[in-house]
Amino acid sequence: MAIEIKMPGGEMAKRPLNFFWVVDCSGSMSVDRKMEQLNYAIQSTIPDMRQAAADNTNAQLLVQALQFNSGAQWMTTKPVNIEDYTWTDLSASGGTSLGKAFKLLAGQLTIPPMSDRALPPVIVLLSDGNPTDSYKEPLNELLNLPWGKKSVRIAIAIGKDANRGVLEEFTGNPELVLDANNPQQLVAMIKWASTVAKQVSQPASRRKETAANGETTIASADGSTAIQTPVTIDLTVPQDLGPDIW
Amino acid sequence: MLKTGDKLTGEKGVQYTVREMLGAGGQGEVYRIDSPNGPMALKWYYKQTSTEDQKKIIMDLVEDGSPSPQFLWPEDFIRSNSNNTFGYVMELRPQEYRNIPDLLNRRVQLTFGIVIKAVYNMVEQFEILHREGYSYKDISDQNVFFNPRTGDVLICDNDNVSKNNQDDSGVYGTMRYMAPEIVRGDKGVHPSTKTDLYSMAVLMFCMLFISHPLDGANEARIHALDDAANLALYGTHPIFIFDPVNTENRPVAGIHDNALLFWEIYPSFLKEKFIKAFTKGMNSPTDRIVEREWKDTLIKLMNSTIICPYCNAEVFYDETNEENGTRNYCWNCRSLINKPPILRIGKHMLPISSSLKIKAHHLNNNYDLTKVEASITRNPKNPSQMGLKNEGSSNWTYIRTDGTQGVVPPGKSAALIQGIKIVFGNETGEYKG
Repeated sequence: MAIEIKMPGGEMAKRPLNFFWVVDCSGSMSVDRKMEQLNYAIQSTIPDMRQAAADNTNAQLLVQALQFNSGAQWMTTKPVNIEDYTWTDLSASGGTSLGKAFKLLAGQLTIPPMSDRALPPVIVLLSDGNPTDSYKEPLNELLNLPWGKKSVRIAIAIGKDANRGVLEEFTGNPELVLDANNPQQLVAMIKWASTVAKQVSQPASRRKETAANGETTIASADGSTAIQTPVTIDLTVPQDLGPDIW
Repeated sequence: MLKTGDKLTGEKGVQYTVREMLGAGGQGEVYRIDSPNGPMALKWYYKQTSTEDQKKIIMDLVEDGSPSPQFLWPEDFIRSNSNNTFGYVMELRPQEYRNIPDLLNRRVQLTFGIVIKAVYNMVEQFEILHREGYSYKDISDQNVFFNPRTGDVLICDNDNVSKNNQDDSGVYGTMRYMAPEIVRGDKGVHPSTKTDLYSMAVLMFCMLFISHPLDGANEARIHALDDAANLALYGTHPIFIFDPVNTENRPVAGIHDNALLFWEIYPSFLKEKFIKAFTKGMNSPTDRIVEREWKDTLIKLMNSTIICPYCNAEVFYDETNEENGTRNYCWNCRSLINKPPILRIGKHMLPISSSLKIKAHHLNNNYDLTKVEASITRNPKNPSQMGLKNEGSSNWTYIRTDGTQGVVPPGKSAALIQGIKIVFGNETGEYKG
C-alpha cells in the first residue's frame, strides 16, 4: 500500500482574540463566600471556552486575568492560549483599587504587547463595591487607546453594594452591566460573559428587522435585545437559570 | 433544562427517556435520549427561542420527512407539559464524524481525495435539499460533518430549513459565509437557494484551500475586525482574493499562505469556477454556480488526480498546462510529471494508472460514483501490456486501429493500445498512450 501523502499547508489564518477577566479581590468579596463562588464559576467556564475555541476557524482565543484589591496585578505575565489556560484561585483582602486595575489593563491594551491585527478584545470586570482610589483618569486613558475604544466591555455587579454607576462608566452602556445577586446568577453571568468571545469572533444568525419607521435594525434571531458595541452582542442567555419546571 | 430520566412523549405517541446532555448552543440544548428504536438525539429549545415560527418549521419538517439519510432531520416533535418550550428528535451523529473546523484547524490530516469526496458529497446533499424546494439559510463550517475515512457527510442543524423564499426562520446566516446582499441587509432580500449557493461556494473554497475566499490584503489592512469591518469585507466591498481584474485583495504572504499554496496546486478549470463564483456570482445571485456544475467540476478534479510516480503524492494533471507549455509538477517532490496515457470517454479525461476505476457515471453521466464498470489489468502473457477489464454486466465493442472489431464480454479485458476505441454503450472511449 502506497504511503498516503496528506494535504499540505497549515491551519486557516486566524486573528488573536484577547479575553480579560478583571476581578475585584477586595476584603468584602470574602463575605458570603463570593470569592470562592467566583473562582469556581470562572474555572467551570474553561472547558466550554476551550471547546468553543476548538470549533472556531477565525479566532485564536487568548485569556489573561487581572486581580485588584489594594493594588493590582496580572495573574499571568502574558495572555495564555485557552488550550493551556488554568485558573488560579484568588483570595479576598484589602481595598478596591479600580484605578490601578485600569492602569494595568491600559498597559496591556497598548500596541505592543497587543497585536495591531486582532478581533476586538473582550474585557469582563467583576466587582462588588466602590473604588477606593481615583479611577476616572486611568479609565479615560484606557478608553482612549485604539484597542480600548474597540473593546467589548462587560461588567458583572456582584451583590447590592456594587457601584453600578462606576461599572456603567466602564461599559459605556447600562445594559452591559449584569446583576449577580445570588450564587446562581453569578454562575450564569460568568458563563454568559465567557461566551461573548464566540459572539465577537463568529457573529451569527442575526436578523435584520425593518422598524416601523422603515429603518433597518439588527436584532438577534429570537427577537431578544442586541447591543451595539464594536461587535453586536446578543444579550440572551442569562434568563436561563437552573432547570426548567417540567 | 431537561434532567436525566425525564420521560417525554412525542406527537406520534412515541415514548422517550432523556439521557445525558451532549451540548448547548445559541438556540437550545441537545441531549441523548432512548427511543424504541435505540439511542437518538433531542434538541430542546430555550424559552426565548421556542417561538411559534420555529415550532411551525419543525412540525412541517417532521411531516415532510427527510430528503435523504444524510440529513439529521427532525423526526418527531415534542412539546413540554408546562411551559410552551419544545424540541425535536433526530438521529445521533456517529462518533467517527468530524466537524469542518477539525479540517480547517488541521486537527485531522486528510488526503486531497477524501476532502474532494467530502466536498462533492456535501454539494450533492444541498442539491437534494434545493431540488425538494427547500433552502438551508445558514450554511457555514458549523453544520456539516464528514467521515475522515470515507468522505461521507452529514448535514446537521436542519431546524432553519424551510420552503425556499419563505422568510420565517429568523436566521440570516453566519458572518463570513453570508451572501453580500444579506450582510448589507438589502431591502427585500432574505435567505434563499441563491444565498445558499454563495455560502456553499465559500464553504467549498474554505475546505479545498483552507483559507477564506475574501480574506486578502483588505482583511490584512484592518486592525480591529469589528462589525464595521465585517460589513465592508463581506458586504459592501467583497473582492475575491484571486479576482483576475481587481487585484487589490490578493492574499498576503505570511498571513494567507494557504491560499497562495493551494492556488498553485489546483488545476485551472477548478480555479476558473471559483473565479466565476466570486466575481460574477458575487453580486449577481442569478449567476451563482449551481450544484450540478460544481459536481461536474469536482468529478473532473477527481478524474484528473494522478499519483506522483516519485513520491506518491496526489497530483492534479492539468491538460492546459501541457497545452500552454508550462508542464505539470508534483507539489510535494517538485518532480516533472510526464503526460500520462489518457482514456477519453465523452467529456471525461481519465489519465491511466493501475489504480484507475471507471465508474458508472463515466459511461452514463448519471452521477453514480460507486458502481465500478472497468478497472486496469495487465495481460498475463505480456505483463507490460495494460488492459481495461469489463467489470460491468454488458458487452463492450473493441475497435482496433485498422477498423476491425471485437467483443469484450463482462470479466474480460481489452488491450489499451494507441488509437483503439471502446464502445461502452452510450459512450465511446478513445485511448491515447
